[in-house]
Amino acid sequence: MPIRTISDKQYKGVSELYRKSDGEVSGYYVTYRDIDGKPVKRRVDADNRDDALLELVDIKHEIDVQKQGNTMSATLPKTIKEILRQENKTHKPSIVFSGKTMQEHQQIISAYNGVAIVSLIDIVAFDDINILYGYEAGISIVDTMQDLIEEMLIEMRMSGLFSKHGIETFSYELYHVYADKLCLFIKNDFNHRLLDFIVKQLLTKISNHKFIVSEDGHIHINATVGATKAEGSVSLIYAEKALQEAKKFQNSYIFHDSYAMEKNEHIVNKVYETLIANINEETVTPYFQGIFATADCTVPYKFESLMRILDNDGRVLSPAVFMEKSKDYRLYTQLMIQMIDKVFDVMVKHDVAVTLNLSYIDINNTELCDKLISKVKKMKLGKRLTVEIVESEQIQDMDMVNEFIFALKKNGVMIAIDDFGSGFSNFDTILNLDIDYVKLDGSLVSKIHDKKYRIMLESMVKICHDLGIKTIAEYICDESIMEAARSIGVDYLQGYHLHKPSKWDSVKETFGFNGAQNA
Amino acid sequence: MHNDKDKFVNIAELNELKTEILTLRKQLFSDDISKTKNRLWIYEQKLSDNETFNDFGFMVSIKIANYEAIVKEYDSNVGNRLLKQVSDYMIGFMKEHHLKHEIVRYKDANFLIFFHGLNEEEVEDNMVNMQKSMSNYKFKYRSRMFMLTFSFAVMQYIENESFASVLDQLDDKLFQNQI
Repeated sequence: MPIRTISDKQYKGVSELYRKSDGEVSGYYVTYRDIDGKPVKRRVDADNRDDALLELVDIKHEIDVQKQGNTMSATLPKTIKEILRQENKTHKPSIVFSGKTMQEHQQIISAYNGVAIVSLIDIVAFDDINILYGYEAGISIVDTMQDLIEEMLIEMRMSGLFSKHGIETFSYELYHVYADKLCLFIKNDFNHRLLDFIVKQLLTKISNHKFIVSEDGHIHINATVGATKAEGSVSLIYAEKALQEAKKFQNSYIFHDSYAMEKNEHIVNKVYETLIANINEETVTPYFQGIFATADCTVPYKFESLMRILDNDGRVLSPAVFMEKSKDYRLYTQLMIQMIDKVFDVMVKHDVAVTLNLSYIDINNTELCDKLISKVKKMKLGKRLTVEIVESEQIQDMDMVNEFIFALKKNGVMIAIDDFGSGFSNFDTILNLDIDYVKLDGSLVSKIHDKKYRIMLESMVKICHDLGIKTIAEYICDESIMEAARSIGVDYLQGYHLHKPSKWDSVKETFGFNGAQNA
Repeated sequence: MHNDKDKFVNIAELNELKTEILTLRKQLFSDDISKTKNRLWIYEQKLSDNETFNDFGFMVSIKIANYEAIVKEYDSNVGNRLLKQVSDYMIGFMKEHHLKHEIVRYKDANFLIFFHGLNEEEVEDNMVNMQKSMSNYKFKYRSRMFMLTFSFAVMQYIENESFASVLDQLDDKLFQNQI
């Protein structure tokens, strides 16, 4: 009777013995390597494919035990076949490799009634693998990853890891959710430390594994894991957040706590509602903070415009509350367009010079940039406007930013760089961009009494002056910092000590109608 | 000449002693897990002998949400680390907003903040901003990520007012304001 190989990858190593006359399966063969590494094909006593697979797992386990030394066998728990036979069928580990969409997986996980573990396993730089080795190699790597996860869980189960932690039975499902992403859904309220252990073992196993990509060789890959333990209804979203955070900060693993999330989300959802309301009701409010010439701190030279929004109770919310969220929700551009309109209104009505903060996201936004430039041209306000580039460390395309800068400069707009000296906002930026002002980072200015910081700031001011760039010191929060900033030759000063950001009406009351000298 | 040298040594010793006393005093009134003040500081510095306030301002009571559940799940070491991070966040917020304050960890996850030089509306506004901005912040300890928030209640206090009475009223308000 001939032997037929089973094509389903789940039954790798199991073959069917079938009768040629009627095609009926009459037995099963398993293929494995013995203790000396020689290939062995042997018939097993099994009624179906699953039984044959379990026999194969047990055979492989026995070989492993023999390899490790006979003394261990006495301490090892029951074999998986015995465990599984004794278990209730509903608790039998089930591994599902499905072609379902993410939404369908989400529905399955969301429908789970109780606390579960969801881990998303993402292959690092999977696109590179596809490009360099082809899509087939990519698919093969994902398949191998699935095998590795399955093998590892079986090994852990057989080594008694779960029973040691009081978990006798549990079931899990493994989904292939995106091209490079697997989802391990464990239907059990595991201790978070046990999950940490599992994930760390898995990451080690993956990074040590030789993934075959061609007949000639293999590669090593790494994975990133985002996991959570939460109610089924929210677990996948939390795992996504954890994975996103891990990838953002290049961590191999992040576990997202769920215990404080419900109350946290109550507040966060309110921020979303507030953003929508501010967009619809056009209540984005510019605040203005004076920037003073060092020689005369009585009247501002110009004003920095700062975005604020209002909550349901009419409270003014600071950027720390809404700025990042507005970018996450992709609502930031709508806020910024309102902000530009309102700042220009103040410039027109009150003849003042104002700085407007733009990030790399803004400069990348064609609609917003076109609107700004056409407004500057139409209203002929270029000479009273300074565009302050914030978060300049995010700039990736200097040419594109320079194009924008020159388009503004043709209309008389001045350019400033914010937070100079911190993070990656450095000399490289000012050498590559045509700028007029540099704003020294507030965290450095606040430490100006420290000799080392003073020397550094003084050098920065000197270099800027040598390059024809004027300097502004932020964070002037008291008289002593102001005097120290003056003494190192800073051109302009800004901070709470001189002027607290406020609405234009209040600015008018403080400084008179045409406050800024540069009008 | 010899006397002058002795005098100089004595002044130096006195200065050293003064520094040591200040350090000890700071340690005595510091919380053991965060950079806040402790309960003893309230009784020794903020209150008179009859436990009434010796100054005036606004007192804010803050309770970190779900702290007990977090400690139960992850243990008190993780809980303590988070309390330190949360208090650092709050101190950073108040520094950034130039708020004149004193912060105390009163018990477990309950902090008290004393504000000066602000009116009630400004205190409320600042607290709402702190609460909302903290809700966006991701606290991390080793490979774990926590998104925390807090409930708060604000109450004005004046000189000679009983601390216990203000605290009781704040507890009632905090219960009503619970998220």
